[in-house]
Amino acid sequence: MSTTAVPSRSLAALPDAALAEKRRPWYSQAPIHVVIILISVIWLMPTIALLFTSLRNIQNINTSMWWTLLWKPHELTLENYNAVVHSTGTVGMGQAFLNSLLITIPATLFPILFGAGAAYAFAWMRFPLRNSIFLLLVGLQVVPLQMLLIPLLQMYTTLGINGTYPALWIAHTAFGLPLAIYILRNFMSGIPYELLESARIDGNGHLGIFFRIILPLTTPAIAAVAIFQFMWVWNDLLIALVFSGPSTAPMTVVVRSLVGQFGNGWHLMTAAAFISMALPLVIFFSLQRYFVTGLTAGSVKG
Amino acid sequence: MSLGPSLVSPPAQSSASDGSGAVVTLPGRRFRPARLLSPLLFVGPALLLIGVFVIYPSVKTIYYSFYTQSNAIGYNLPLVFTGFDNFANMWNDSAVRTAVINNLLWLIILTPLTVVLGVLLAVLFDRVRYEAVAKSIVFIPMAISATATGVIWRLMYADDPHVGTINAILGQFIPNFQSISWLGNTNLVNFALMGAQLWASLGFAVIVLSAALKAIPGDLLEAARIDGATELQAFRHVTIPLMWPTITVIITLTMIGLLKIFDIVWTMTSGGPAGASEVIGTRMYTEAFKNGNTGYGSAIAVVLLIAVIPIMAINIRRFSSEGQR
Repeated sequence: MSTTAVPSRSLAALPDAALAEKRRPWYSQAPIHVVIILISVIWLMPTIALLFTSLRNIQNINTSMWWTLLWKPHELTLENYNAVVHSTGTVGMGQAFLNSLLITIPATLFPILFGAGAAYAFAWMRFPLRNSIFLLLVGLQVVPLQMLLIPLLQMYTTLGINGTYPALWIAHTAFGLPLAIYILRNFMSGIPYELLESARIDGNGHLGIFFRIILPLTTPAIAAVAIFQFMWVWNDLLIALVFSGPSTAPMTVVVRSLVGQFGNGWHLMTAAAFISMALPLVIFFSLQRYFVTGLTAGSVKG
Repeated sequence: MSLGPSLVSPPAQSSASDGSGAVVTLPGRRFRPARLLSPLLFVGPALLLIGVFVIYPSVKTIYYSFYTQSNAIGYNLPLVFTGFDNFANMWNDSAVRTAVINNLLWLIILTPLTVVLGVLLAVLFDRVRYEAVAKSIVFIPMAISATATGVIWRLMYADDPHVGTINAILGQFIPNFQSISWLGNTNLVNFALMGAQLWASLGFAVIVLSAALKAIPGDLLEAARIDGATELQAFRHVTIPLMWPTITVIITLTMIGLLKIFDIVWTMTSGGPAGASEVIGTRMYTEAFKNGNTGYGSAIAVVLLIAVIPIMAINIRRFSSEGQR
């Protein structure tokens, strides 16, 4: 998408904003500050409420508000996390965390592996129907997941792989490929032709050009695709609901089943939900720039 | 990457000049099957996966939508061709009708709200020094799964005023406040869900629109001001038109996302109470995987596809007009 090169540009524009701010007296800015702070509070509070609730025992949760923890820090307990990691009736969040990793890592690598090659062909090779096929891929990006579920489930049942990790990898890989190819191809076609030409003169065939020139130069786009695909798979509920089994259920499925089992078991639900959010939040805060670029690039998917 | 060095020698690639022929194809050259081999190697695996696991299932779902087949998954009950019956039945199915109306409600309310708030916040954030911090705060929910968002907002909306933040805060300000059952009231539940969705997705719009705002050359606004335009006029006649292409992107993306909405509704209400918050996504899931109505579930999926097609067409046209190299 044309919207990918976002964050660096916003930093470059900062001096302008600072200048503009200087021209006006601070109090004329006051309403703006109030609105922004209010918005920030509204956007932060729900997550903090979840975290605080998950750190209190069920008696405290049901008798006083979560913010009580601020002046009664001795109420803080990790017992909910302890309970939820080990067992919750179905799969413990510990196993579910592992399942999420075992599902997400291959389901992130495969689309990049297959997608990068295809993207190179679409960008730099000539073959019959190239443009028509690519246009088809553009259209496929918005096909609803619901269109695949029933026949895929039948195929998996026939093959006897329903409920296994490969079933989830295949679904996520195939469904993620059109967008991955699209983004990688658009990036690769921007690589200067002279680079490819000189590599060819040095005696490289397509494989040589692909591995030595294209792949290293495509790293930013690959990082973006990796992040959105990782986030998409990690946070997916629908594919996991249909194709995962009791022993392969990722965290989204376990959290959802906790909601179903204990509608008011806030201590368990909140702890489980927070565990499921932890890794994406760490990625967000450590790789913020790539993260924003990746999610922006991948936003058409669904 | 260790593959690299072994490819230096020309024999690895049947002939270097042949390989290059695909990079710079000379027009008018005779079509040779051998030159299909390397494109096929690169593009084949991906297209095979997409063909078998995306296109074939999609076509089969369309096929199923004209048949009635119960509990078809795993058992091969005979298919009965019923023509457009599934689609006709949807017309009289109040659950589906509610789902479609709710989906429209989501579109009509949340799309403009997302765009307007997105532009507003992008402009406001642009005027303060701590812009980066404010933007990341609004963006944080993008890192959170819709399932976890569902738990977060179930907690926010909880009926018990000792648990639910919203009821607790309202209770602080309104005397004799009676707790509101946000998710238990059939009139409120959809708006409550939309609130959660807005919280989850607004950050994306803000980030993208903010980038578009930064891309507007400062001298254009300066020129408008010199010509005597007020801030509001400059915003309306310079900023908005220049941001418009990005705004349309946000509109299409938001609409696609809202049409397909499933996770957050399924986690927070499962379509309840009494089916009041059903959307097309939850209906499809319930019919296909809870009730085992494969044909009917497929037909609902097809309706969803039909709803997305105009947006898909816009997507393709935008791509084509950007120009293929």
